[in-house]
Parts: sequence; structure tokens; C-alpha cells
Amino acid sequence: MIYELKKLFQRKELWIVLGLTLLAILLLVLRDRSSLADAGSNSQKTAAYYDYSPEEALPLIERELEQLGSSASDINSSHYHDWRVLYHMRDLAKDFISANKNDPNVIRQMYNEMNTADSDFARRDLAHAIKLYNRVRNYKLADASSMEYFLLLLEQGGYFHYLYLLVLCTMLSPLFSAEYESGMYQILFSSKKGKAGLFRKKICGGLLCMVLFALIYTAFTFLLSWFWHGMNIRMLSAALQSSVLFRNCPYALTFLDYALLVFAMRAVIGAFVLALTALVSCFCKKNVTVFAISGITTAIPILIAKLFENVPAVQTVLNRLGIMQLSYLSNYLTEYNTVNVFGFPIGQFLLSVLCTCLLTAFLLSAAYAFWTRDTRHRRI
Amino acid sequence: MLQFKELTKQYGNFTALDRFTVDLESGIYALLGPNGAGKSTMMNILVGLIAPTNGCIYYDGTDISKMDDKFRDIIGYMPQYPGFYPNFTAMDLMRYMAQMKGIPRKDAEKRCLKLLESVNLTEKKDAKIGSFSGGMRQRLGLAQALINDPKILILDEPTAGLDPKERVRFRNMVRRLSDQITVIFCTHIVSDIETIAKEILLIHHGKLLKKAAIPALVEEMQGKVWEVLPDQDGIEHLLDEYPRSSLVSRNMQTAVRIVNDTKPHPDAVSCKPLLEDVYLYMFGDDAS
Repeated sequence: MIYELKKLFQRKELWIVLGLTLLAILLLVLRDRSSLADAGSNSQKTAAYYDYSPEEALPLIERELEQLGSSASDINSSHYHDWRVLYHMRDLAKDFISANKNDPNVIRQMYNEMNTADSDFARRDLAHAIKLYNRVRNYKLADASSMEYFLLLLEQGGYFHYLYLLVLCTMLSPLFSAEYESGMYQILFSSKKGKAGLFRKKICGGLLCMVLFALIYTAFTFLLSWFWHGMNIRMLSAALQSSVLFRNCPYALTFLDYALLVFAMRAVIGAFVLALTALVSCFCKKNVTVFAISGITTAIPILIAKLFENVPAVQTVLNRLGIMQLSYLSNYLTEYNTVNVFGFPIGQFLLSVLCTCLLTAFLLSAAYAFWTRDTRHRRI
Repeated sequence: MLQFKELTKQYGNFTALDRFTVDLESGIYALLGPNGAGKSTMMNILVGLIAPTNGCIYYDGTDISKMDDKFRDIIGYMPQYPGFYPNFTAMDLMRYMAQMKGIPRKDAEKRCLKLLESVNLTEKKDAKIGSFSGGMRQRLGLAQALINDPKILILDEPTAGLDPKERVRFRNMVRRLSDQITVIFCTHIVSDIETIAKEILLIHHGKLLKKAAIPALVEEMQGKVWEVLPDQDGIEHLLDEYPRSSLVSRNMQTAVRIVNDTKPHPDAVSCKPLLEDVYLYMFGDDAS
């Protein structure tokens, strides 16, 4: 395993791609630093109220707002930013307080709908929704007014998800093609492990690299989000529903669970890229070709979507093709969303993960079959 | 014993190996043939890189396709122009190959050092392979092929790039090994196997033409090898007319050595045949 890792990390291309991408990201971050600074100072303001409950904080916020001015037009330009932040915090605190009243009307409504549903699927779906929401309705919510920015940067990584995909493709492309390029394949295939054993060893090595990289990247985006937006460490154990964005999330998750899920999804994405590069390597012996094909398949949809930001129809299609969408949990967890699978409600998130895993398994099996086809003896 | 039974490999309509049948015991067997004769195909099937279309190979009576990794455990393979990872050191590569061949870690280090010493690479064991010369790469290729103490050693053009001193050293090393193991030595350099090969396998168009000891092969060429001392124009004419010919130096003069069933020139004199003449005679125009 050590030598497989050594082979991967000794490749110059990996460090060149890493360096160039980091440079590009740095330039983009510098370009956007004013709006990032805004978000950063937002977090400093909200942090000052963490020691108060929303009920305690609300009157304090309102008093401070009164002192600054009742409307935006009354505000001195030097205080405008503070006024805007406090205005937002007041809305969040009010929203939080009303949410904690545990209004059961929604759940009562679901019961009524379930009794009048005209299909088995609709009944099962509503029953499942009621079960999930009943579990989370009594959660004590915390003041998570700053968490939206934190969570979005954690899951989307800003510009860094391009880095993630590019480095992943660069790291995994030479897994098989490097043996052909270096000329070592003849010696390795004739060794004790043979072609089949070598394939298994490399896939295990690739999975390990991919999981480690996903862990490092998630830790990086976590720290980046923390640096830019701040967070009270106690928030990690707070219910996800504390965040306004996830107020209707039906799952019993904390913010820490969310971060772990983001890591898990990135690992799933990494496994898919690994399987894709393994299959492409069976046909293309050149590292550059494998990198190009896997890069085009994974990163290009996102990049093109960026170019067509003002064309929603194109964006919708391309965003769905982008493999990184799987790690954007806000697409799946903000509300109850299911798919009808043979009359049973299956969570959209679970189905997406399952389909990706099945596709990954299929690609790996196909790669294995092609990789070992020359060595399977046939008798005539 | 290694037995090849009706081994055949077809690529579409092209037959690379045609019912290749031979038995090999311990000793050095040289595989001689022109480019495209089927030597590499035979070796690739033996080491498991490709599967045959028909026929099989037996080792001590067992089909090697059924032995699987047990057979690969007893072979050592040195390909022609072995490629290595340029950023690995020689010692890194030996350790890696020891791991790939299932050598226990406690034995691997000692064995790697011993093999590097035997191929005269001890001083370069911590140098990156990217800085190695062609000859050093060949020596490293041989060392990695021997790491698992193979019972069958397959060498594809192993002396390419070695200087004369290294080639002699290499021959001696292989000769010492051949008492206990089977060595299949594929080469175009006849002088490399003249003094060490037990038997020669002549292969052409995928078929085994002959399998015999060198003295027997050379004996068959008696009365078929001629030398003649023509003038300059005569040299060109003879070389054109008899493709199985070569230029040799005799008493400060240039003579034409011709391999032919009948006397090619009135002034031609019959000579003692050599192994190279056998090669020229068997492979005719392909060899020239």
C-alpha cells in the first residue's frame, strides 16, 4: 500500500494541478473578498448574542435597532452594515421563537390527508412523513442564525469543489495507466498476484487515498467555513432544524451529523470517480487521456453551468449531471422528499446515493471484467 | 518439467503461435527467431499476460492455468527493455517487487541487498532509477526477476544494452543458476547463448522449426557454409545474389561468407559452420 501511495504522490502532475488550481482559487477569492468580508463580519455580530437565548436576545436586538434608526433611510451610512445585520438577526430570532412553539397543525393536516388518500403510495408516504416529523418535533432548537452561510460553504466549498474534482481525477487517473506508461505492467502482471490480484490491490489503495482525501477536504472546508463565518462549537450538537434553511428537515440530525454526511457523500463521489478512471484505464493506456475523460465527465457539467448562470433551463439540466450535486445536502434535506419506488416511498437522498453506489459497483465490475479478459483461458 | 502442448494463439486471421509443442527440463534453452516469429507471444502466454486460443502449458504434469498464482510464484520474468518507476530508488523497487511476489518482510530486505550485490548495483541502491543507464536498468531487471528464487526464469533480450564485460558476467550468473532451474533465454545475440545454452529452439511464423543442442545444429550445416574472396564488384554481386551472406575479415581482406546448399562460386571454400550460420540458414531472407 505504501508503494502505491508513493507512486501516486510522486507524480509531478498532481502537484502542478494542485498548485495551479490553488492559485486560480486564490485569485477568485481575492476578487470576491469584499463580499466574503461582509459575511465574515456578519458572523462576528451574531456571535455576540450566542450567550443569550432568542427570547433574551430579541429585546436587546430591538433596543439596539431603535438606537440606530427605525428604517434603512434613517441610518447613518457608517452604521448601515450593523443595522442590516441586526435587522436580519431580529427576523431570525422571531422565527426561531415561533418555531419552538411546536405547532402541530402541519402534522394534524397530514393525518387528515392520509385518511383521505386515494393510493397506497400516498398513504405510506404520509405515514412515513408523520413518523419522521413526530420524531423531530420535540427537539430543542438552538440559535443557529449564522449557520446558513457556514453550512453552505461547508457543503459547496465555494470554488474549492473544482479543486476537489481536479485533484481527485489527477490522483486516481494514473492508478492503472501509470503501469503501462512506465512499462512496469509486464513485470507486475506476471507477479504472484497476477492481473486480478493487482486490480483488487489498486482499487483498495485507490479507495484509501480517496477516503483520506475526502476527509482532508471536508476538514478543510469545515475550517474554512469556521474561519469565515464563525461558529460556537456547542452548535455541533444542536439539531439541524435550528437552522432556518433546514427548519422542515424531517431527519433527526445534528450539525455534526451534517458535516459527517458531507464527508460521506464526498467519499461516495470519490468512489464513483475511482470506478470511472478504472474503467477508462482499461481502454486508454495514457494517463493524460484517462485524466481528460474522467475530468470531462465529472467537472465539465459544473463549469458549463457556471457559464450559463442566467439560463435556468440549462442550469437545471447541467446541475443534475454534475456529480458534486450529491454532496449538496441542502438539495435533499431541507424538506421531506420521496420517490415512488414500486409503491413505497424512498427518500430522494437515499435513492440518489443508492443509484450512485450501484453505478459505481457496475463500473468497477465492468473494469474488472475488461482488465482480466486477456487472461481468461478458453478451450476450443 | 515444462510442457507446451499444441499451444496456439490467433489474433483474428493471424496466427501468432501455431501448435507450439515442446518439453523443457532444467537448463538453459535459447529461443531464436526473427522479429514476429512468435517468441514474445509464447513468453507472454507462459507468464500469464495473455491466454492461448488453444492448447496448454503443463508444469510437472499440472495445467498452469489451474495453478494460477502458484505458478506465478515460481516464475521470474525479465521483459525486453524493462520499464521502472523513475522516482523509485533501486532498493524501493526491489522491496516493492518482494511485496508483490509475497516475500515475507523479514527476508525481503536481506534478499534485496544480496541480489543488488550480485548484479553490481549495491552502490546505486539508493539512487533514483530515472538516473540509471540502460545497462543498469537491465541489471536491475534481472535482479527483480530473481527475487522469488524462481524455478522458471524467462529472459527477453536480457543482454541488450550491456557492455561486453557485463554480458560475460551476466552469462556466468545465468549459467550458475541453470543447474536447478529452467531458463528460457530469448535473444538475437547468438554469442550470448553459444557457450551456455543446453538446447536451441528455432521458431518462425509461430511454429517450432527445430529443437536441438548447438553441436547437432552446427553439424547439420556441414558442407553448407562457404567463404570466398572476390574483388569489390564481386562482393556486391554476391551479397545481392545470396541473401544468407555476411562480410568477414580474412588476413586483412574482406571475404563473403555464404550459407547455401550448393557451392555458390567457383572460388568458394567450405568452412566450419557456426551457430550464426544456422540462424541465417533457417531464417533466410527474414534474417538478412
